[in-house]
Amino acid sequence: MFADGRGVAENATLEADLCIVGAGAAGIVLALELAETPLRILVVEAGGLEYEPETQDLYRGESVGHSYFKLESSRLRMFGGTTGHWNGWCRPLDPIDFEARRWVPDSGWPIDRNDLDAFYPAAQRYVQAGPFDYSTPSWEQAADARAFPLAPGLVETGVFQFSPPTRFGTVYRAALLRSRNATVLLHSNVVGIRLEAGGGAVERLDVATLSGKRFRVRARRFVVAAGGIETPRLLLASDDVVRRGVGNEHDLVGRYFGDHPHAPVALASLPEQLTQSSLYSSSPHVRGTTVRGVLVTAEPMMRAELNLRFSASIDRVGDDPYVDHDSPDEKQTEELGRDLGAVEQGLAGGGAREIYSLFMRAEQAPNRDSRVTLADDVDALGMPRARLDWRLGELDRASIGRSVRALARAFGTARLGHVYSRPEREFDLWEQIEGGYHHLGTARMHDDPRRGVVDRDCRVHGVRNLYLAGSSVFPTTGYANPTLTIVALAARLARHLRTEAA
Amino acid sequence: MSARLSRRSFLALAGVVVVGGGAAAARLLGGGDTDDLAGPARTAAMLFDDPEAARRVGARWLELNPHENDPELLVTLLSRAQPALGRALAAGDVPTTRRVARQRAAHELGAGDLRHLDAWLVSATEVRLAALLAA
Repeated sequence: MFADGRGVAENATLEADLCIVGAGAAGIVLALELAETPLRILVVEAGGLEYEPETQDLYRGESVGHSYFKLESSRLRMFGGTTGHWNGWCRPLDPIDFEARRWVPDSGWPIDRNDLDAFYPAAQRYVQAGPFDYSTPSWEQAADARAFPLAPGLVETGVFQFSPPTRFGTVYRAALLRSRNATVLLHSNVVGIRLEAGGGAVERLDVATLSGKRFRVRARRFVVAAGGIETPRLLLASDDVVRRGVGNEHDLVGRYFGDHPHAPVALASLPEQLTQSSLYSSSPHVRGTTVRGVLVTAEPMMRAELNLRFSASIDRVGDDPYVDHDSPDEKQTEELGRDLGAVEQGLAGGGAREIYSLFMRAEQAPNRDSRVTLADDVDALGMPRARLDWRLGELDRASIGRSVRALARAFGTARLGHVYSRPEREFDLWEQIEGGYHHLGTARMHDDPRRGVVDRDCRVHGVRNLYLAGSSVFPTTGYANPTLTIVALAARLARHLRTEAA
Repeated sequence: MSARLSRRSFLALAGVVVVGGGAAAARLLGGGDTDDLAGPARTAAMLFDDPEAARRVGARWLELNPHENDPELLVTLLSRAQPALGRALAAGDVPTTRRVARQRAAHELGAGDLRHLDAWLVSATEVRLAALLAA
């Protein structure tokens, strides 16, 4: 059922077995996975069912590092959360994404891919994508669209499936409305996590509405599922018992903020006919989903060159909105590329070449100095606003450059065409890099409390009844968009909570 | 054969009659200021359906690498990288030139021996072949 915090009595105390803070993808999946259990669930959601500017303004914050989107525009404070502007890219993390790689400081999860395999199929269903199958040959066959014939070892093809995209607030509203054990409390902003004396457990949440109401929630267990910026904001602002904030005894909350660096990283001169009919361009709809291939640097090359994960999609130059293709410099570059295509065609055949834009979605290396902290300014409820200092490092920069060169090597070996590397241009690609609205890593998972905020069960170290769900717990991120893994992790946490409650 | 071709041998190669080749190349070769294409340059021109595009690529390479603006030196460099390529160019053997050049360029690119044409990543062999049309 649904209720509204504005109707709760002033200073009332609501009680539940489980309180979930935030009704985005993670919070909604948790509630649905725990439906039909004896648990009394209260989902505390800051927004309403629709977008409301006054509520959204609570997300306003500062950005002081690498250029980033406005904090109030890169997420949505409403029922359904940021899935309201999700593009729908789905792919699980790969086994290597869970590894501690010696050349990537602070990398690795305490769990591995096997630990999520049981939950990814359910996640696929929640995001309304096709079967849990990300094998490139399988989709080549199903779609009758080929990947490039690239020699193994340098670059390979990965497949994304596309959610419609699922707007969780729309698609799952009815199920929660019908729920007998879950109540969604709208317009209810958690402004404080209050710990018991000693800090070993959460005693209650303090909740406020923009209409001026204040009340409390007590529960046996609490899950904060508020996203990679709001979750650390709330933990840091709750500093009445633990001076640095909840879960922050080791100064980790808010650190390691990451996103997937996005940029139009290269051009490529490629056989037009082959490319247009390929898995990269044709976006076929088969087996109940739309699929798209991307170029991914292969593990052997990554390990040999000590790189991060890297992917690039292929777009027709005219379809790429990120570059001014009418500028004289760009026109000259593309003309030279077409001439190179003629050279390639003369030597290797394969038909006429056309210029394509390669758009990067890369892994960001964990960076302790990239972080969310509290700003001096406060919002309408008196909560300190978030201050984001997004930082990219030398490993990110070097890895991107080497990965583009790997594309050039792979295309060259296969005699497909040439690559124009923007990282090697005179001007700096660095300034063009932006994020993907993926707020990751600010309450990372690690078995050691000195190295992570939550343990492998997503429980906050040292606080026995507090869990985190969502992208904040990712210690490393791969190149894949995070929503599918967020949902799989939420389903896994639900199982843990169910077991624990039993 | 890795030695640089002698001036005499290069001039001798310039007299080789090219047999075959695409119509576009014939048009280019028949054009006024390309009449002086001969020998390896003629062979190179016959590789491309659009030799004018290849010439522009070669011209840009030579603009960036002016020390290579010498047909004799270009042939020497191509031969040094792959002797069979030098022989095929000298013989005016277009199919062999194409095959060997393709293999050599793929090898260079695959091995990461990438050269910059502005920021296009290219193999030395392919751009030097193109440069023969512009030197």
